[in-house]
Amino acid sequence: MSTVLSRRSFRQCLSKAPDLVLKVNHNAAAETMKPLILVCLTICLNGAAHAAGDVHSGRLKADTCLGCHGIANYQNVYPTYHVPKLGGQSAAYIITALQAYQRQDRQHPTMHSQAYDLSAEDMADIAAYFSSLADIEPGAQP
Amino acid sequence: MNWGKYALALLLGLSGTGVAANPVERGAAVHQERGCNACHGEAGVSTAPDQFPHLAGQYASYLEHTLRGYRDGTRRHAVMNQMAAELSDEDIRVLAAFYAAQSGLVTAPRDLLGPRRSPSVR
Repeated sequence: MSTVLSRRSFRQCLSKAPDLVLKVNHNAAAETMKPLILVCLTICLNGAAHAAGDVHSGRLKADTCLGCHGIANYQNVYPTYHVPKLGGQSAAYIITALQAYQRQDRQHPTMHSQAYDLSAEDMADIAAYFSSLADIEPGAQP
Repeated sequence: MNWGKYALALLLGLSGTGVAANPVERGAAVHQERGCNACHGEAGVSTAPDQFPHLAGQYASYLEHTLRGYRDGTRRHAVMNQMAAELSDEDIRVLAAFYAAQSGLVTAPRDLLGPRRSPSVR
């Protein structure tokens, strides 16, 4: 429920953004720029999620990843929990996770050391590879 | 002595605890009540994979670690920190059991020699 609300408020923010950007220089030309700025903002915000990676390059770049993520029931220690399954996971989510590890917004020393020198292209390729491993239909019922 | 009556009572008692103790079913209920299904889908298959991850088939222990992280703030996410704030340890345990029991995510195959056989790669 709160997600729906927050997405709505996000959209409201987005619709007000051109007003904020144009507050300084408010004239007729600026009015016509409004939709353009909105489109640019939307593209910027969605950019990372839509970068399509290359599955084959991703497989090669993911060699190290498979040392842990390619072993069923492999365990992380201190604390102990299973290393997550990535086969079929959303590519956008994998990219977001790698970016968070790179920036250390998400704390995991091993994952930070794996992610810190990855380029945006590397992340997109690796994400495309893992995502390609299972076909999980959006909104599919069991 | 009416043994049938005792047997029936015993059977009802056992089946009662059986239903209450099934973590997957309790997890399914929490999944609905808390609105997790709005984003992560009815069976843990994301409704919008470009925004929300799939949870179906993920390891329970990893999901528990994740939810505890969101609850105590060690993992930050504006929406998930709120969603997890009120979850009890038991909620987290049964939610993770529910997602783990669904079919979806798989372990990546460790076919280390596979892609190297490709002519495009030496």
